[in-house]
Amino acid sequence: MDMSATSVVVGERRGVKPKPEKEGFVGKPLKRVEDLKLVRGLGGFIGDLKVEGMVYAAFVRSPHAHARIVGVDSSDVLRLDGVIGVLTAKDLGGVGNLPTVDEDAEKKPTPRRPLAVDVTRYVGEAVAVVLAKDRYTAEDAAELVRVDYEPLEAVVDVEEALKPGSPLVHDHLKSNVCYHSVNTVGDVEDAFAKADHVVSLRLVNQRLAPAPLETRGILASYDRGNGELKVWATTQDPHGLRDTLASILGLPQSGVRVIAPDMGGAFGSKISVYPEDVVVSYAAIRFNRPVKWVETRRENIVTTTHGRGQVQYVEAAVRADGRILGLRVKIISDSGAYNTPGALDNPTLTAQMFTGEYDIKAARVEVYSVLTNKVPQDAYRGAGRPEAAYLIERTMNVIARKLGMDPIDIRRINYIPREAFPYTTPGGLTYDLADYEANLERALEFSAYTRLRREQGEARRQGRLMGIGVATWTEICGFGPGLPQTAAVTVTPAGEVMVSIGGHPHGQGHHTPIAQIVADELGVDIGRVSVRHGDTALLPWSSLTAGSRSAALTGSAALLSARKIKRKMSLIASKLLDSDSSELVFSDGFVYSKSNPSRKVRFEEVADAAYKPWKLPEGLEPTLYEYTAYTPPDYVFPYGTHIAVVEVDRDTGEVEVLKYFAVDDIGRVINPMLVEGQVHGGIMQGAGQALIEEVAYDGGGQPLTQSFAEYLIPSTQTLPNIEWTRTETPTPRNPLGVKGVGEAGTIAATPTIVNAVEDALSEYNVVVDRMPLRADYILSLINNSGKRQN
Amino acid sequence: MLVNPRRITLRVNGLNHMVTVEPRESLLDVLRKQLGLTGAKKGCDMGSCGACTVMVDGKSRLSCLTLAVSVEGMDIVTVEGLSRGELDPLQEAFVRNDALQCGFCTPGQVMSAKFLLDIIPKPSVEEVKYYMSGNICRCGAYPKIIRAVLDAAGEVKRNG
Amino acid sequence: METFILVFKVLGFGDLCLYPASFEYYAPASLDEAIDLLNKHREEARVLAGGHSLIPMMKLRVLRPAYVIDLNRVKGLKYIEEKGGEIRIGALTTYYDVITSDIVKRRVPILAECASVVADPQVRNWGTIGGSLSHCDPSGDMGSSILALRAKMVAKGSSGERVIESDDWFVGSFQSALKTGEILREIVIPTPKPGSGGAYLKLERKAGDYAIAAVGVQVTLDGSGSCTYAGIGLTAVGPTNLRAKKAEQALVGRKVDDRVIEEAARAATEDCRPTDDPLRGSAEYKRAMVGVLTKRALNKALADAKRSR
Repeated sequence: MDMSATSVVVGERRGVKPKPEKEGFVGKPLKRVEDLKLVRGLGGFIGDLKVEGMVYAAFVRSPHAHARIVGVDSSDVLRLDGVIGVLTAKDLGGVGNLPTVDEDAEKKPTPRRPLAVDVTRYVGEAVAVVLAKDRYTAEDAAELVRVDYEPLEAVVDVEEALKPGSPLVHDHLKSNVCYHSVNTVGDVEDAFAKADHVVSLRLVNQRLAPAPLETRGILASYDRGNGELKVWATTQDPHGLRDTLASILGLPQSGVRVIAPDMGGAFGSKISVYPEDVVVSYAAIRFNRPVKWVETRRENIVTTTHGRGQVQYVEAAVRADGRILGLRVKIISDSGAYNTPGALDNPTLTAQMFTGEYDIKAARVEVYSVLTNKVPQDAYRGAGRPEAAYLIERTMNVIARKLGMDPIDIRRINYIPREAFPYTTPGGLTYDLADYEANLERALEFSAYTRLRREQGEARRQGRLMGIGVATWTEICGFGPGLPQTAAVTVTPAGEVMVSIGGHPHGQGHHTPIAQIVADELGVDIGRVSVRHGDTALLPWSSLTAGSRSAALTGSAALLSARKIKRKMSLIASKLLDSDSSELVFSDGFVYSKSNPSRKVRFEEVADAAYKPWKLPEGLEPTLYEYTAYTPPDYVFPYGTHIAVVEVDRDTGEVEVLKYFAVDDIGRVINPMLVEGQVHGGIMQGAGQALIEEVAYDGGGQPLTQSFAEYLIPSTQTLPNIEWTRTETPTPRNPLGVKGVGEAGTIAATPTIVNAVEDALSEYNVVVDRMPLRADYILSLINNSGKRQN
Repeated sequence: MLVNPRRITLRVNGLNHMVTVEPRESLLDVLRKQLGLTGAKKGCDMGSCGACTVMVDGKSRLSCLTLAVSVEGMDIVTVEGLSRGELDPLQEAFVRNDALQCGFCTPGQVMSAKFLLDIIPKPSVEEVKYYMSGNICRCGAYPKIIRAVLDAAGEVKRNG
Repeated sequence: METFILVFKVLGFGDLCLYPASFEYYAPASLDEAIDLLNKHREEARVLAGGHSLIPMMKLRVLRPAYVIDLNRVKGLKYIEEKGGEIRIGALTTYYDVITSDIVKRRVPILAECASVVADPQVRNWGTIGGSLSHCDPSGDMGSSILALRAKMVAKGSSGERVIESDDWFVGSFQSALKTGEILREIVIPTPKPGSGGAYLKLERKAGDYAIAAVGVQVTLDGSGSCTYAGIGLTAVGPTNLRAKKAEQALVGRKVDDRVIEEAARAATEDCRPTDDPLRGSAEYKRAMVGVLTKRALNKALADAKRSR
């Protein structure tokens, strides 16, 4: 393991005061402020929270993938000691439906009740809830709710669901298609007519369980006197949950407060509002006591939304030299039982990003979202972009093999050239700025690619199946022009800087980089800056934390708020120093006059003056509080090159990843230590999809993966050490020049590893068309290739 | 209200605690709910993730698969028992090496690392990977977790 | 097929509970007392050792014993000793104890190799050999090593003790030869002769997972290089751990060369009875893997045997 790259820690936790270097805190690998609490087990996660008088909920759930509910009898439940109450669908009369899409020519909404009424559409769909003094008793009670079901035929496979005559998930729709769109750019027919080769592929992105180590949970408490519903919830979008709960429960938005406490991972699965959020909140009001529910891991794997779930058909029109003239793509997305907004985001993002880093002039992309009797699909780290990167990067690999080209060369021929930016893609996006060639070159050098190929040649001569895989990825992030993010900065009379941010961490570590940005802007020590988040009472509004958007949006909003504070403090200081505000400098905890540095005032003296009207310049409003809702002009598009070396065991089909290199361009970096962690984690999850993760159902829609004994999560032994470095091309689209890194590794790693395995199997000339790359599948590829030698 | 309640004494972090529990309650639930020691986490509740790891009589153990009644009188140490004011060197190494992201698995990781270093004070990279393999970090901080454990063992340079 | 999927098939899938039903708990101080309790409550009672198999089943509520009899207060069931050509292992001996035992390392390293690939460190610290063998999960690793070593199980009941050959121990999936009221007290392994070697090889989706297939091999070679003893146990490829008798017969009495190893490996694929598993592969795949693993394990065990002469 290479330890030479160990980060230099220049910062210290709050309270300890390192001197800011001349160039400031941004760019430094400062340690995270929250670690001190978390490493001692003193975090406050949803499961750790208690409220006086709190009772516990347990849900009664459908054991059928598709069934008519004939009757629900909960009369036995209340006889059990310790039971508080029970709610079934008929008790939820005044409660609204969960969100679905708005109907238009392409989209079909599917109404969804918080508790299933007549029909259950996936195993685990909630039918009733029981409240009791403790969870054990609640589970005892849930068993006593008798639900009579009349099983209906279920449809599980997404392509089966597309066929005429398939069982309908929603009877009111004439088919299971709940979204259909076609987008054609350029002369696609002409491209295929001129092609020397047409490469056709069917690819499958299997369903994945996001499976944050902390499951979902909610604690709801209703203050009848003030008419306020207070909800602690594992949510990536506190204000979104507030507004949705208010709408569904018929409460004013001002009457709901949502707090997202410490969160143990989310990865997209804690964005959408779930039935349990509504039911638990309603129960707290109805029974007038705080109600808590934390998902079991079985509930999490079975009933929390799944990610991915796409079948992709790709045809590429290719010239003899490897240039791609056109693409035809059909995406079939497995929506699950309801057409939720989140379920639709994934395939539509894939349809925007499917041309990746390549200059492809003609393309047709058709998208079907299809209902099945499975839990709804939603975001999972990358949400639609991993599927897009997989589609194009696998296609590039297959084309390269068909033409006998190195996977590096096929990419070079097709890259969008550096001078073409900003570049508008067939997906309708305008990429900001990139130099794919330079990033690729750095990766080749960093991985010693030529040497790797030599080693591969040597291994092959020894009869070993060694493979090298490459993927050059890009993604859309920094969402977006239609979705602002907020931050506010206040400076207390004592000169403490308090930042409230709309984005909030579930492991990303927002506190530290945000403090770095603000401390630099105000020229104060980072120990003076504290960061708050995850409470709708902190800010007037905020948007979700997702899509690798926090550095670009939350960071920019914090920066702009700090700038406003600085402007106001300059005015105050100018009076205190009797100098021109435009020539004042904030540094080392002082405000200086640039022309005469001996004229200076302590930062906290300026802060104190801000609260004393008589010390202020005329007309200036007292106090220091500035708020920004930052809206970026457009999206940002980070990119990079990943290279993996694998070996396949010819006899068992087992895959081992021997080496992994990554060179990403994520623009400017605020804290390289945290960024490296995000890259590691992303790659780990991308490798999980390639190697071991899969949600499985049997033919009747029964989930076969219900625990971590079936659904495998990467461990210490899954990957070798990850070698990472970066190139830096700051984006012009936000004041920080940052792009986003949360999903980068996940997007890149999956096609990188699959490409490597396909390369390892090149003597068998097979196309790897399925994931995960289970040993039995790999061996079947070898055995069915017709080239098995014994 | 409790079914077959028992009054037991649990020795946790050097203190005896009298608690009344049902036999079916896991050590994890009793630590978290009755003793207020919420450091050990419920990640899977089926013995597959390691987030609930505590030390019992000097050996790491899954508290989710342990009945509280069955460890009466045994010496239990939770992550809260590792640091009294000062951080344990292992905890310091986790912070220094950025070995945590969401922090939910961290108490379990720290306890597993503690056990490893108790039995193998100077582990190799492969030994760290093997002994830490029962602790899932969904955030995927493994490269830095491995580095932190080696660092705590004073092994970073040697293994570098 | 792996435990929980079997369980879900039996149980149905809708109830996603992970909290056990209530029960009464006993922690007897002696084995006799435990046996009395077991005889009193019969089928309503379950014996608790490490708990890593029993508690999950209870959390899923597929097992709902009214009484749980915890053996952990019973003294004298945790030991590994060698006496009179036999290695005796107390039922409450943990995987950790097995892995770290000098006797095991010296005499039956296959057991340490096997125990070291069971689940993860926390489970190995507290999971017991007796508990695992009594649970009789067809995916259990220890069972195959026990078959390869032709160990004997000493069961104790109210009318005394009886010795059960490993061949008779594995009655069915999750069903051992223990009768109601009996508890496994000790495992007795005939000490392998000089010139012996063993290996346990496990193919798994991820380290610590239940096996796709696994093979335990124990062999003894005489001075001339002829095989005088062969024991082969198979994991996760039948309703129970299986003994690969045809494969053993292909070895015993012969000088083992590559051709014989191939023959034995092929025979092992005929000895196994795998079924299709949606997560771990088809019956056909597992059968092929039994061949691959048997060959690899034999090569390893034979190399050890040659070294130990």
